Amino acid sequence: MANDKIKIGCTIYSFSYFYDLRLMDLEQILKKTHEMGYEGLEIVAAQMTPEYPNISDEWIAMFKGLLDKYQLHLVSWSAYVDMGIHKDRDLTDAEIIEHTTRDMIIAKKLGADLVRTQHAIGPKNFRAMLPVCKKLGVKLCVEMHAPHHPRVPVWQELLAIMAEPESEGWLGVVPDFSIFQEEPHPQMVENYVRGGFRRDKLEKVMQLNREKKSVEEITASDEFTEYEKTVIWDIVDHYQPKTTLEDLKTLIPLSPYIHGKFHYLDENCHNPSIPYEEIIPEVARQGFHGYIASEYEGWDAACIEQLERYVTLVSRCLEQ
Amino acid sequence: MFMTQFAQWDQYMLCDAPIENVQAGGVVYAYQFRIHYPTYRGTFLSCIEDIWFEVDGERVPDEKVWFMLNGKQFLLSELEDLFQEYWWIRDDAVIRVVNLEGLAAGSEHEVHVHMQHRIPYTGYEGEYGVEISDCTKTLTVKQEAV
Repeated sequence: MANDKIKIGCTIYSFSYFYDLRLMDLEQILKKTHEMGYEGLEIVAAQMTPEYPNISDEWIAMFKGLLDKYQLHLVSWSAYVDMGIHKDRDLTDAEIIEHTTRDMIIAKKLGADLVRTQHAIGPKNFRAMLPVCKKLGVKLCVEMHAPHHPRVPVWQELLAIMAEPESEGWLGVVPDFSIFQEEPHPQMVENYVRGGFRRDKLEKVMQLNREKKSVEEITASDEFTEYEKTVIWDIVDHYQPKTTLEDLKTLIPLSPYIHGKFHYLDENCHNPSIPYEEIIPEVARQGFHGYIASEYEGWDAACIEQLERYVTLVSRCLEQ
Repeated sequence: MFMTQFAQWDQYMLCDAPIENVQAGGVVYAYQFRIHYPTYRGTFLSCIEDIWFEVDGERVPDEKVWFMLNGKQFLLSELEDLFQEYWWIRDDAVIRVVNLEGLAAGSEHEVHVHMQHRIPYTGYEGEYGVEISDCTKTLTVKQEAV
């Protein structure tokens, strides 16, 4: 599962359906990822740690033991900036730094390469974490996820900090391939229909979205309910990507790790929503060195077959 | 800003476990059923902005509901303050409805849960994403009270 510089890893978040519905436990998932040939993995802390957010040394020892048993390396401890846990205020800067420091220490105890955080950390707090990164020897990387893109103001600031010489090797970006997604995936289409979007109208909206029509143009093209108008906004916001392949020239030098997001691959291991055949060769051309994590977000029982298809797809793209 | 990103999980919000009558000293004082948090990860109870229940089409009075999690019981009106109570994704919350009649053993009831919940890490465009989740299931009342 590798070329010289690029390895295919797995975020065990991919197993959400089996884990969340108690069909597989953590050990069964690690055993399966090992059997599938993966070596590097990511865990989503807020999902798979029963004691969250107060994670004990006993749990850490248990998890480390399982990683050793299945010969797995923890690439990424996936952390959150849960800004909105209070009913009447956002987290303060001091709280964000404390939460992030706690995650960095857990990552250190687990031997992880990096902590994945979120844009809400904010530029000032992100930069303030640099001494902690250096002291612990753990990288801190902000995930860039749709609907964000490199020209969002907060990202202009974050990318500038990552590009500073003293940040090199410590502060980086985790591009999530949702930033290149051009179509709602099949599960999302069904969500919209279940929510009340009339299927025939939805198909027309998706066609107009392919033609890069604006929210206003699409909304004016037909009669829509308030729910349908909300969805149109969602579709245009998420699925008219503002990130281009050209942007990888900026992102890849700052990226030690990538989220290979996908929701559905067909029998030919092709992704109809995200142009992998264009993205992966460009990632390689830009000299990426690290793990691309298989991140299946279908949230259903197809995950194992889909992960197998994903490895085929990325391997094929890397051979181009 | 209302979101629809997690609607796929709504169907699991009501657990399939049967309804149970609950007794104290041999006297039934409540019935209960279980709910699962409807996204991929857990959340803090303070992120629940609104939650209510219907049984057989009738709204259950909010003040009759105990929300039970992490070995504690809470009133619905208390949830918004509980930023230190984490609802882990594999822990079901028990919804206990105080009702001195209980429900007839073996009878079937249509249960509906509605929850409006803030996704605390969103805010990509300045506002938090808020999900509205609904789930309806027909559940049977267990023979033995607990």
